[in-house]
Amino acid sequence: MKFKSAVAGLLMSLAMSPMVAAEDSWPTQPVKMVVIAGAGGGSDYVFRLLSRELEQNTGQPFSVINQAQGGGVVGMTTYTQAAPDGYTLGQMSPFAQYRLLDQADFTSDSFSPIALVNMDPAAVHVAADSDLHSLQDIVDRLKADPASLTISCGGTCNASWDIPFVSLMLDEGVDVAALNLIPAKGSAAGLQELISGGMDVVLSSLPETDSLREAGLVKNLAVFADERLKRYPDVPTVEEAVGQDVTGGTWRGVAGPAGMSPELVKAIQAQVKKAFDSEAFQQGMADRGFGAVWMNARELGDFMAEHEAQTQRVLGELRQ
Amino acid sequence: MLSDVMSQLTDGYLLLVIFCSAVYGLVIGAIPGLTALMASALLVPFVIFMQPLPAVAAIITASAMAIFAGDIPGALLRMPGTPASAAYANEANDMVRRGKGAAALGAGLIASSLGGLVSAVILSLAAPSLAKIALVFSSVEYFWLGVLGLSCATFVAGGSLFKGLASLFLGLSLATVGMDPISGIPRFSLGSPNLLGGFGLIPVLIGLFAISELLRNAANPPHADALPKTTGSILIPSLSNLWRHRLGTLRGSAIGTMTGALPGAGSDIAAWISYAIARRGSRAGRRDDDHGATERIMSASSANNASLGGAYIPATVFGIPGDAITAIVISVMFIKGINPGPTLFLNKPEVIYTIFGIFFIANLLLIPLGILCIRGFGYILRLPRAYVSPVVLLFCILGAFSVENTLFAVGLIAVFGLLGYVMESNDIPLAPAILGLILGPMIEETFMTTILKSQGDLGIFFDRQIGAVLGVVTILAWVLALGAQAWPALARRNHRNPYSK
Amino acid sequence: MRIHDVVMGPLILLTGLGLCLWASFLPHPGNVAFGPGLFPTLTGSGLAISGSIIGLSGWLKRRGQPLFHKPEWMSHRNIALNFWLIPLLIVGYLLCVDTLGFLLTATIVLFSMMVANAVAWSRALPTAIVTAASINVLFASLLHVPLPWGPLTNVSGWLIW
Repeated sequence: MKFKSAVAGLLMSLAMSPMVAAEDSWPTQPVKMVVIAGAGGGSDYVFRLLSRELEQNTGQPFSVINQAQGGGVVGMTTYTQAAPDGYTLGQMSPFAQYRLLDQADFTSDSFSPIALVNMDPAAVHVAADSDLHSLQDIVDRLKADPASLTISCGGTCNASWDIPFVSLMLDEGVDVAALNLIPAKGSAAGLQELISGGMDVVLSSLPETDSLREAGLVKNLAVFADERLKRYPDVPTVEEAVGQDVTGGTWRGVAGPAGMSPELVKAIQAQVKKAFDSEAFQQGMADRGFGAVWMNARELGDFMAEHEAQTQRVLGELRQ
Repeated sequence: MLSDVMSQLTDGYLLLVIFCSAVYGLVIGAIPGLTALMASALLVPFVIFMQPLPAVAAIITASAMAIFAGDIPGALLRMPGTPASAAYANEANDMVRRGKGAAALGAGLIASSLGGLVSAVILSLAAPSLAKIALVFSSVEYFWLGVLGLSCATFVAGGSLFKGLASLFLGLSLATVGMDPISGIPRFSLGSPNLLGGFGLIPVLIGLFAISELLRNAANPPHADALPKTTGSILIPSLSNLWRHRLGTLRGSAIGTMTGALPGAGSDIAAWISYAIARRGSRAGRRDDDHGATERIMSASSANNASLGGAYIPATVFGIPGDAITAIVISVMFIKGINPGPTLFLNKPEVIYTIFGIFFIANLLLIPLGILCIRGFGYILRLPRAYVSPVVLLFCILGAFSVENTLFAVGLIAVFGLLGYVMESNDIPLAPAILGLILGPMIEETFMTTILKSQGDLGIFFDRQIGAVLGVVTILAWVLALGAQAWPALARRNHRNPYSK
Repeated sequence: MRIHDVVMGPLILLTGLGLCLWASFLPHPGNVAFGPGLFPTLTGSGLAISGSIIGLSGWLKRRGQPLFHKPEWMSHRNIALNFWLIPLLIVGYLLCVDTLGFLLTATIVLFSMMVANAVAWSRALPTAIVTAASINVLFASLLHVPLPWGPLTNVSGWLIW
């Protein structure tokens, strides 16, 4: 049976050129989904969850391709250079720092935004026995001497976790160019440094500290969100802690190479929305404490422009 | 609780999953070019939607099996299947050539299994308290540990010390290609996104060891080195070997568990440290005959499987991964709602002990399945070379591609294959280069983080107690090695080595 | 290909010095005290030092050995072909696989290497096809490695299980 249908499909596909494939019938062949992180990580999980729903709804295989090299530059290059036919999509995550650091030349014009599915705010953590008891303590300390604390970026610096923090310090009038920001190989490594006494402050998302907080080793001081997270009702927002309205963190969305037709984007966006709304996806995100946040293609496009502006401001100050 | 654990472990479906992933891990690990990391990474899409326990069981079992199975192509073809087998691939291959294949592989098998079992016992008894020790390691300690690991590998690599060092620095330099870990500034990338991503470990490993071996084979007339058969009993002689080398094996298991328990130091460095200690520090291990080789193989082989168990200590207690494979296991645990952490030990002890039990079963299962695998692959890999070499080449291409998912990785294996061939022909050992590439990023990052923390004061490297001890040991090792080189008479005594030609 | 230490040493030395030089041109960001060039400079110096010692000891020990020793196989055309075929096939694979697809490219790689190793055409072709097809089924269809399907792309939805 399988063989017969394969032969029939082969003949059919030879008869009609792939160009003719109508947008509303997307997808008619397997879709590649490039994830800019390794197998098994948070991004991988979100995209596999999404891909499974897409696969079930459309009947076409969605293959997740992990390209974590170069902090994501390799993966983004792969899908932005693919044909804009809707069959190579990829993970859309903070990208503006790449160009500002001469790593790649992506701007928001390099992508066709499709939808945002997840957003996780950054948060500030200290060791449980630290003499820093609130975000205000940190701000005061840094105002007096910006280099007096060692701050782990919980990953590479100039990225999702430290940019909102530096942005806050800019608003507070701290000399950010003198901050002692130190990168780590992921948040787990940064937290390990925190507990071993090698670091004063770590920036990362809240779910990442779950096991260490339960062990009584880590305190969460504030979260860069508009309101407290449901899962973490005790952690104050930055606005509550120091009165500045600064938000930020990491986010994940779906995008394609620049130049996709608006109809095609619309068709894909509709499928992604269906997958996003599915119970399995919502449950899967909640299980791991990931924030399921929806933005459509237009909203994501505006958000990307905003992200570029914030990154530019912070990196500009940092590199003076 | 014990009955809970037992009833979970005897669940038919779970056992079936363990069995299937064991076979899968052995086969992938035993194919030259395909690695333990690839075996675990390829399982992710399948286990991600399975029940929690079978999902974790599948990854744990497959990785334990694949780490052992990497010894098989290492011994039979001199192409180590995983970086962890690189430490003793030469040694095992020499034994195979002397007709002692069954003994060499059997020794590795029984030592791997025992190493895994010992670490499983330590894991069940002392995971929470050991994890606390591992947590006092800061970047200073990791820096010294990395340097110590590198030094061990270089000083025992054989041949000229300075050729070993040249190879080591080559590996370290190759590791700096790509993004600077501190500022993210591209280094030596020539504007190419692929170079910005750096040289992946697995493609370089495949190039240096497997492709260069294919090239050597192509350059030698095919009949010259037909492998002797790996006939003879595997189990009986390895049990007597086990008794004979019990100390080496236990020492290897202990070193492996401890090294594995340190986040960031994985099975490869465990194998190297254990190998170096066996070579220099034990009477049996200093001998250049089969007994010496068996002692070293068993020490290193027990260490690399034990380190897998050790890595579950910080992983299950604090959710901190020890190496790339454990990182995959942890994410699968997170995904399945078994959130690692001390509360897991308090609230759901049956789950955590079932996971340790799975590791135990996997290591017991390793013996019968491993023997079958040695027999099977011993036969397959001895088919006419005209058929085997092309298939090995294809697997090398596939192995490099499926770990990195880029064609650039495929190109790398050709470049590093030629480089490895030239290095070998000039007696420059390959192992220090690969270890430099493995540990380079960790050493650079910890070094830079440390001096950034102290704002340039090098004294910080000796400020902390454990760090200072590790530092002094490392410096002593260098003084001794360089001293031995300076006194030629002494050097001649210390550098009798089976593969310096 | 054996290169005498007198040549090998300076080659390593030059690589090390080149690395240090290149590292010195790397940009130095204002907000960190130690730039991206520091570590490469250290490893480059290590290469340079080991290179000079290898060269020096080679110079002290040289006894009329040739500077380059051409290996025997290079003069046998068949063996040289077998040798160079390996890197050529790898490069060929990465140039062709996206257009031809894995199945066809793998068959070509296996077939040409078998024929070069003196396997008869009639046996090499079926062996290559069967092996390539089984690897394709195992890795692309079952294990979901994203191998390119080439001309089969449009129907690959049916071929991934």
